[in-house]
Amino acid sequence: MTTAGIARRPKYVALFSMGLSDALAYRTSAAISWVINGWSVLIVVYVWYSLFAQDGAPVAQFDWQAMKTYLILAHAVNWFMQSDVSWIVADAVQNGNIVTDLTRPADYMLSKFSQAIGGSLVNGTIGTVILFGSSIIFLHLQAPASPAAAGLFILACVLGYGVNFLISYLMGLSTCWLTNNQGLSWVLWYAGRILAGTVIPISLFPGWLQTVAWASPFQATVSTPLLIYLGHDQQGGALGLIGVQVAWIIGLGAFSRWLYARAMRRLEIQGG
Amino acid sequence: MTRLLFHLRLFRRMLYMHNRANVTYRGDFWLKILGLALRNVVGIVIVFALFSRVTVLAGWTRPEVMMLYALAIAPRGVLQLFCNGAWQLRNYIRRGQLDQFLTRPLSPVFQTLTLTMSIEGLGTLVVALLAFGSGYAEQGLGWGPAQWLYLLVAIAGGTLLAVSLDVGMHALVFWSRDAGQLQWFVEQTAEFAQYPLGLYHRTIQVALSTALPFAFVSFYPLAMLLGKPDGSVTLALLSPLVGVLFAFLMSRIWNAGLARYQSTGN
Repeated sequence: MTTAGIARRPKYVALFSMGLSDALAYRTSAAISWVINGWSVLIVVYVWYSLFAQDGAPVAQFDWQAMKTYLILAHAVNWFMQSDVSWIVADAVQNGNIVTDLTRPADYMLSKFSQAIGGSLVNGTIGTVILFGSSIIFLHLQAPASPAAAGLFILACVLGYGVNFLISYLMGLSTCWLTNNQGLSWVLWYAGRILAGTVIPISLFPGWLQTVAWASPFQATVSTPLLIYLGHDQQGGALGLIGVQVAWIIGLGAFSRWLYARAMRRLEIQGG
Repeated sequence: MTRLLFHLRLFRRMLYMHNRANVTYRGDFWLKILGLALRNVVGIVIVFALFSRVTVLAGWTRPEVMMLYALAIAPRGVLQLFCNGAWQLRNYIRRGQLDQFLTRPLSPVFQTLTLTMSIEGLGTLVVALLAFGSGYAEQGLGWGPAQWLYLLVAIAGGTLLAVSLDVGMHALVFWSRDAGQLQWFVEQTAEFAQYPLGLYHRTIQVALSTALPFAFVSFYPLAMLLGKPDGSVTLALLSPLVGVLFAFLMSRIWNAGLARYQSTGN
């Protein structure tokens, strides 16, 4: 491709393709990770299968069919949302490469977002579609509660991606204060896995943990799309849940802008 | 023998050095321990959710499964704490840095393993200890010295298995960059050992008792100690030897890999 070709593309599209081609460079790794990811879901599904085989009564609104659908889809949706942005920002701050980004005539958060979508498309989305598609055919997953639920599910996945991106981006920015943000990202990552309802549905948690989960932004990533898909959205309805997602995006987005401005005032670059 | 002592003395020095480095970022150090603890709490949340519905799962009660879970994660904790370096092999080969290992009068596998010692492995071990302790106390068990001794030997065997597989699978990068990902697959498979073997399909049970012998890490030893009918005393007594066997097999892979190593130049 010529440089003229690149220059003619809108800048965020160019950044998106950059993320895409970065990820494509490791496509074999990505393909292997799809397989391994599928394998790790199997373990959890198997354990629940045995539980329901032993005693078929539903647990908190979930019969075996709904539980199976939830566990596999939760994994797929969670996977769809993963991006390296926390690591990319942290790494750029630590080794000073962030300077290159800052000289670009583009908004930092939006550039990282464009890049993240490019990467996720290879690492997450394709695998998610494969896992999702093959599970519906071979494992007889439950269909969406209604055609409207199907449409809102996709919308909620997209919004959930936004929420998850903002959480990761904030984690990356925290490096400007912490110097090393690995510990913080681990804590948020694993706490997030639980609170997002990736491992088990939030309605199966003990009462106090449910309260924590509902108050956290993590539930807006995985749990929300799934509750809509399964039609378990009695409280507030699907649109109410989507409203909560939008509120989180506005809130976290505004916080990110504010934190970014403070971070840039703190930023120290060694050498050049 | 002197060579072994030399490595042991060096290991102690390295442990000290790595831990000095680990605590440099004090806040980050505690967060990392908390992070790895949380990683294992995820599994405990699942155990509690399962047993909120039923009292017995494949013949095992909740306190028993808690102990099983603890035994399954403990070897990984020890590995993280003392010899968490194998994952870096790939980068060392790519950058041609492995050459420096070959010029030193030290075992290359020792140098690889000790590239990283992650103190946050404590997070894993603390969760394992709490889960085991709570399961033990809840059942009001009273083990004698023989049982505790066997348990320690079994954990040592399980750790040897985990470390051997970690090195062996990561050593596959000597053949191909992507083959190293097999390690991730093996690590995921180890999670099967967190639950009673009877839960799984026959094929998986056989796999966990042969090619990927994680049932020997947690299930067979604990089934014997608790006198579960689905265990096997013979297999339980053989458990520690599985670690030794795999240490041998994986060392073959390592040596074959190292023999075909060609430096990328420096």
